[in-house]
Amino acid sequence: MNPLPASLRFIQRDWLSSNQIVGIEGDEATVVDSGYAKHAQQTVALVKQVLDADRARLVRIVNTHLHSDHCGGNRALVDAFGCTITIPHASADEVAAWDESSLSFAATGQHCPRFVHDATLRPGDTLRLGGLDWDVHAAPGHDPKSVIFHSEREGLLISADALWENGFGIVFPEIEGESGFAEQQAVLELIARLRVQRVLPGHGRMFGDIDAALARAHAKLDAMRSDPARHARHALKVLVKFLLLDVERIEERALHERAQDAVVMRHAAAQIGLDYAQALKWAADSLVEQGLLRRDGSELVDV
Amino acid sequence: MSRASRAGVVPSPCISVCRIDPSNGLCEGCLRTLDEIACWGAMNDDARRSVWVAIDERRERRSARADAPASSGELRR
Repeated sequence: MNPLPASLRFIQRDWLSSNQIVGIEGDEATVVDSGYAKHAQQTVALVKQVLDADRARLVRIVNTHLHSDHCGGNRALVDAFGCTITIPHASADEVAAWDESSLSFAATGQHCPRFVHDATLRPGDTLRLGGLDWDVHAAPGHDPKSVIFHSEREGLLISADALWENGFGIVFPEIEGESGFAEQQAVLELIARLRVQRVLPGHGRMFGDIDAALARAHAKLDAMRSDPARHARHALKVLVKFLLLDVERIEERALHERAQDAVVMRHAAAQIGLDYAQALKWAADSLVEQGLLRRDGSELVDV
Repeated sequence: MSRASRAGVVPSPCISVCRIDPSNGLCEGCLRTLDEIACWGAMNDDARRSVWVAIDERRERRSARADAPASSGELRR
């Protein structure tokens, strides 16, 4: 793989916090996505580290979609740098009203400090980032309102959670009983049509073998479509693991209390065909069996 | 040690702790400097292996100290 253009920085994070992509043009910088709230001070420090080296200042955050692991650092970055926030246009009303029932945070047992947006992006718009023009594409599937960014000139794709090196994010609409698999399929087909030499994903490392990643994603999607309960089981485990990444350790009883209002997790349990308490216990047991959590007395501990 | 010398994909040292210890400038979880974390995404595999070697050295120094912090358990994650 060729190195990234010098005007772009890829800050690889983890599964609790999304990656950041910093684009620098002159002395001004834009960051794509801001990680989870728990890591917000680390995100501020990392962005500052990148900017100080280039004597640039952060003027704007752009969010690919408004899940808590992608916009949880928005408020801290605004407090630290006084930058603006640009979000997908489709999310503008619920952000302006901070409508907790449409924003996904409470429904997933997650949280996100409130922020105010200054501008929006729609599919078909052009995003200026790191001295490059990026086409804004709709990327429904994982999130009906997500956008992704493509630089035709450089053959770069900022794919958010629509395509990772090994898969893609939970197809949340399907957990809610709505269509999502067909949309995810269309997004993969769109990406296959674009000139992409390198993907800067929302989680995991950058990668260049697009065909292999698309083949893996299609195989996973086919498996989900043929057995939606399997997708629901995967979703519930991912959400329980995320919760443990957040709290690090928790009494199993307290986990159930914390997940009381997480309607997405409830819906996943219903799709699996278990009552909620049984489903949470099943998910914890499975994660322990896979070595992704461990038990310490009556507590669940992240590993 | 083994991860630093392993061939193939070099795994990210991040274990989701993501807090810098102001006393030494290292992440409490992965023992990397901010610069090593910020630049990881663009490093080639050799540079990544060098970071792992540095992490292992820091871990050994830390565990050699009598006052090794309790968070060393996190390194097993």
